[in-house]
Amino acid sequence: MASYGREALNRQHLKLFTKPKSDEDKLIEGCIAGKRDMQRLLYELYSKKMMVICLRYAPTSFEAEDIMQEGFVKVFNNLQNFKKDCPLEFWIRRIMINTALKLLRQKQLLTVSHETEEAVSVAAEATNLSDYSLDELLGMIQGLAPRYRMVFNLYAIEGYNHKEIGEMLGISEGTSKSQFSRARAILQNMLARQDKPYKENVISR
Amino acid sequence: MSSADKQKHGNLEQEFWRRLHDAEAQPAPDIWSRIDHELTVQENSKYKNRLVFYRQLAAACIALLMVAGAAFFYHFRQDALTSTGLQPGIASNTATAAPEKTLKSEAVPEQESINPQQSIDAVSSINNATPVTEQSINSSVSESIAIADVPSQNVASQNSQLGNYASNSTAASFQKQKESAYTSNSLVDTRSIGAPKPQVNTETSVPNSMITVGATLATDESTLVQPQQNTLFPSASRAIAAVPSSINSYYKTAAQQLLLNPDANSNAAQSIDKQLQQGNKNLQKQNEALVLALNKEAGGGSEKDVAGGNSRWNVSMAYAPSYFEQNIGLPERMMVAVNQRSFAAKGPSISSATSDNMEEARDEFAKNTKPAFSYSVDVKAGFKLKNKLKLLTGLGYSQNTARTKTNYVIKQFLFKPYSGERSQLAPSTVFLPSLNNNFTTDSISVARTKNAFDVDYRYEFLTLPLGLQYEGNITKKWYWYAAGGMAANFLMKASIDADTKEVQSVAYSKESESPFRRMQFSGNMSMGVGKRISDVVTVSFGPEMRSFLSTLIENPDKAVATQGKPYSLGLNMAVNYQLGKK
Repeated sequence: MASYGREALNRQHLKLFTKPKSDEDKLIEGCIAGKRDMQRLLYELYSKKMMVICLRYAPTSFEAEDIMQEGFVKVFNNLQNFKKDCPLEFWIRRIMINTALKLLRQKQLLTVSHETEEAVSVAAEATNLSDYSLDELLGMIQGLAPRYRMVFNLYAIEGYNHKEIGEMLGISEGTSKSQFSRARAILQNMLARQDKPYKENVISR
Repeated sequence: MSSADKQKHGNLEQEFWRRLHDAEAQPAPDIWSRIDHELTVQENSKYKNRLVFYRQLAAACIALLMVAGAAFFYHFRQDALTSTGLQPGIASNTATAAPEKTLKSEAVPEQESINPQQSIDAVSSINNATPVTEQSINSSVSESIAIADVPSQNVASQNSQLGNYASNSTAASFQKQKESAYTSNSLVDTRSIGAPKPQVNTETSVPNSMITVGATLATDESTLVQPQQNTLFPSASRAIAAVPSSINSYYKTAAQQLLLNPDANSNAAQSIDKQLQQGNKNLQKQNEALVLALNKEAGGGSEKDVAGGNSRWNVSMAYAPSYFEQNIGLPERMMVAVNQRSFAAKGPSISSATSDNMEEARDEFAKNTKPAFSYSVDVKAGFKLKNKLKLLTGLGYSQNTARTKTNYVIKQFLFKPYSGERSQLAPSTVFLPSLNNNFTTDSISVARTKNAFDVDYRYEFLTLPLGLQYEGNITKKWYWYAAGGMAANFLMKASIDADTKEVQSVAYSKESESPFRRMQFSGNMSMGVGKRISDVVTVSFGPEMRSFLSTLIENPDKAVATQGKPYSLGLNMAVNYQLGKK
């Protein structure tokens, strides 16, 4: 009996050590092996979310598509370097953001600050964006100047802190902060101009 | 800003985050096809790169094999040749008068059997004016290997025996022919003109002679090909396949010229010389054409990739000052037989017994033999196998020296009439005689000199290294490396130089009969650090050890001296150049 019990235990251990591969692992392996159908699956799995990210960072949808293409090619080329220390989606996300950053840097949109728009401080009330469509929201973000858009995306949506953003964009932490507050002021102004009829709080100038 | 404000501000961000963080949008349908296309293009280029990689690897291996094969071949063919210069140091019976006899006995039948070849050989030696050098023989060997293959395949339809003859007998006969050409220069005028009969100008004899003519003549193929095909050759094989027939025509005409104008021998030779020079130029062109033909096959896309990215090739030059331990000791009871010999001593200190001196000399050798300054120079080509792993091969020269400070001079005397002079001078007391066990000298005297003198044992090697090198980064600019490999070391010259007039220096060249091993392998290891000076240039330095896998002496069993395996320790300093970087 005792020996049987030990065997069972061993078998259990074995099971523990030879954990069956998850679907994601299989998908990743297939992609690394260069199987096009697996790559297609991975693309379809994440393309919708990544498209929104690209649209958020790119000035136009053309650029967004370019980022998308370049980003996914990078993903497939570097998937063997994915350490699985974070969810695959985060990893792909980071690649997309970096690709966007690179593209904007190449186009020198980040180096020169064209922003002359004065940020008018608006008495902000509690905001509810549920009534805005995704296109409207993206339109607002795309309407921001490149560097404001970048800082706003990275801080508000990606959740990086200003120090990290400063390092990513090659600016100081203070600059990142001030650009962010300008960006959000501009967005508030945009929201105020939209003046949705079902908005509870009409923003007073 | 109050905390309440922050909260309010945070509200906007939160709202955007809520709406956008996990939002989805349908991408344009053509994005996937664009990605698919780009991935396909990349895969193709990867495949092409891999193809280029294997082609280059194959080319490197073939080149290495050819060089190594040629060196081996030449080296071991040397055994067939007996030495012309007699070394006094080894007093063996065979080394006295035999070489000249064997030389003659070998040379004569060759002259009889292969007259027509010899005639052209001889012409070549006239052209060169100086005797054919070792290098030219070497390169002719490699040529013969390179060319011998091709006729055997392509000319088979013309004459099935031609190819075999070209590959087999060329190799076998060229050395002897070379020698006969070398020794019978003076006979050339009469014999070379008289000998060839019309029927001798067969297809077989002609390519042979072409191959044996040496480095300069080896370029004939282009001269010969020229009248038929002036333009670039479409492919390597076709170009080479075209060679034999044209060689024939050329040599027929050349030989006929000689036949027709026996008196104008020198004129004919000059004209051949001119054509050869032209042939040299044409060969270069042909080589370029071949390279072009080969590259075209590789495909245009891959070339672009190679040019755009980092090439896998790099070249490096290294210099390594080192210390060399020859590892040759002397036995406790050295030359017991010496005691029984008559002491026809003439030296300054006849009073002390030779056998005692011999003992002291032995002790001195054991104590005072030290490594001396040695060095090696290498030119290597590196081929990147993986990201950090390189295959290295090349050509090197190393001069290894050990030194003894000694007081004793050994004199060995032959019973020949010239016994009165110091015919056998062993510089470092016991070293040289100890390399050989059969003392056939009539007498030996060991004399002590007034002043101590240095004896240098110097071994010059031509080395063919093959190894792997692994590199890792330390910082951005600095890297470390560790390398290991093997090298074939060909002894070019072994000399024993004494720093005194009483002792004659002895040198064994490649041709001369020598107690030393002609070729030996060594294991090479090195490690160190390097610095990237620019994108393409790096310098590196670090310790290097070369350990020979066999003894310096060819027959350690026959030698009195106890033999160990020599090694050298040095500091390797290298400059590396990355080829084909943007």
